[in-house]
Amino acid sequence: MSATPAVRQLVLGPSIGRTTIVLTAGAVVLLAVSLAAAALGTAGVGPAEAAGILAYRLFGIGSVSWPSSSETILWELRLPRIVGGMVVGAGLACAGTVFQALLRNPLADPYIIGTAAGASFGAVSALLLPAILPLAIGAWLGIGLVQLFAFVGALTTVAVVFTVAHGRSGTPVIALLLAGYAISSLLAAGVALLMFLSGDRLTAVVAWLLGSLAGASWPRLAIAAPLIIVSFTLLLLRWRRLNALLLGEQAAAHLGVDLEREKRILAGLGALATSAGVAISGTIGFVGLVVPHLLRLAFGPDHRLLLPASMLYGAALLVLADLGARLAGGIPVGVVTALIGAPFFLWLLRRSLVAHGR
Amino acid sequence: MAADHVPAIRLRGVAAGYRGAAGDRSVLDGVDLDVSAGELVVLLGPNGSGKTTLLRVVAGVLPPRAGQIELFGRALAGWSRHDLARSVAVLPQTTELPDGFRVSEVVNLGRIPHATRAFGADADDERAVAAALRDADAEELAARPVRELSGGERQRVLLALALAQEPRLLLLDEPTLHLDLSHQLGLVQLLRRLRVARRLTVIAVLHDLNLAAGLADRVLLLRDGRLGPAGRGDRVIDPELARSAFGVTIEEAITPDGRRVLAPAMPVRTGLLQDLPPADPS
Repeated sequence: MSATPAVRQLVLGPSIGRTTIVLTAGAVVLLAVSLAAAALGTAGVGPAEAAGILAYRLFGIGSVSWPSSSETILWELRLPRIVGGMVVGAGLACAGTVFQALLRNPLADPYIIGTAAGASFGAVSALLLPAILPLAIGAWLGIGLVQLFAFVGALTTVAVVFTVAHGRSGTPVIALLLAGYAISSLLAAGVALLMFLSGDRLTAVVAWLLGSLAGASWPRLAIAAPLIIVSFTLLLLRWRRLNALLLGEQAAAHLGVDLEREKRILAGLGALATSAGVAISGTIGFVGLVVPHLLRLAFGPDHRLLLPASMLYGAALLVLADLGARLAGGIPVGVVTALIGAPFFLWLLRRSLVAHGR
Repeated sequence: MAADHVPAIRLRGVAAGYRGAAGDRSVLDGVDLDVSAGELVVLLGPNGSGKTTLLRVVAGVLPPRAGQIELFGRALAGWSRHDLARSVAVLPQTTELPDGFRVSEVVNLGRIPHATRAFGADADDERAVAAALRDADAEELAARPVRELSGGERQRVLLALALAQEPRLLLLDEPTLHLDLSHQLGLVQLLRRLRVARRLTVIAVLHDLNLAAGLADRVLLLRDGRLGPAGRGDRVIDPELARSAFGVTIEEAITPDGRRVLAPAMPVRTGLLQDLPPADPS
């Protein structure tokens, strides 16, 4: 009995072929959705005209045969929204993936440790400040005071949550969750109070809270996009540590992960990406919760593939949702993602319950 | 001094404990221990005696309150987490196995401390994972989803994960927990084989006295925060000592083929249930 053992290739992670297919497909979907979003709209700039403008502006092909208003609509309104959708969607989905692994909680999303509540409180405070101040500072920075306050509010809240949750034996995940919940509730009460006092500015407050990409502009994107890209890149380089955390904190420590340091770095980078996104768009729900779950189900839990995939598919989903929001007469994109996301999530839940029936 | 003579583990006067809501709890107090390279030591002791705490201190995840610890001749404080993970592997009592992975992918997680590339595995990883699967008797499980594993299979996969770290020191915390008799014996045989083949130094926490005596080069008893011999010589567990440590009567018997076995006296026979009404035959 000396049969040569069959040489079987061991699967040590997603293969190069599989990775290439998944990521290429994601890029193609994102491109297709973006082109559709550029071509479609209610302002009367049709697909042919949009294609002509894009070809002319990007590659210098063709000649100008459209009114300058069309170019403004495409270049200053639609495109910033598309790029904003990409940046925010990628940031939220990627941060959601990280928080689900870090907190080992299926309900974790990018907002769970206070980013959303902090951003909302900051933005609403800014909205209700006397109008002179936002104009002055906004003109100076090239961004709105609302965005700045949202960003700072989100990051500050996460820092406070971490400080509260830190004890003698480190920062337990359950303490992070509870502190995040409590501080979010406190800030939500603050937001409610501000809304009550807001008078005729209530509409602006509600619009921000519902989440919208209408506020995306090139100067704002020029600040937010690099923040999200940098935090995404640094997170991607930590894929092995995220995988180790899937075994639980103890086992991750035995594999050389410095738990306390890693929690701070991962949560900090995730919060940075989330805050930069939320500052542009307001709090858009479900992208950061649903996309990671869906991709994990489809492509497995390995973060080497999961992180870049979540970025591409998260971007595509939000661009698509924003297109839907625009075509539906400008309803807030946060409503669209929740309307699609919640039923879809329920279906996913039912499916996994039926499939594994425990 | 030649490297061979440096003990794998050297503990002097080690104290450790936890701070909780109920105040300070001291678990280890003045533990001395020398383990030579290649030795297989089994720790016995009642629940709460500090066996797991001792493993955690040696693994470098729980800082001691007092005393000196050296691993392979180097003070523990001088080891980085990363260095430790390349030399010390731990099989904890419980480990989550992440859903959605195959066995080979989980075992590959053991290669994390050895990673050389930013993305993906290298040839060393493939070789090490294959060897770990083979040595842990888990080769045929390689392609299985971890969700479908039985208790015995899980334990072998976790052992393979630890071996993929290519450690010099292996710490096992009740590796036979949840295993049936044949799997317990299988695991013990596997460990004896492994530590020779891989020149491993092993500390294992066990509860079964006979399993301990059969596996170990040396059996130690931990109680009241201190570590001492479990009996006469290295592998002969003293029933009197075990009785006082565990608080149960231990009987000693010689099997027909001359092996010495220890068994806790069954309370059923000594009258604990005598006064109960006869069981309902239905």
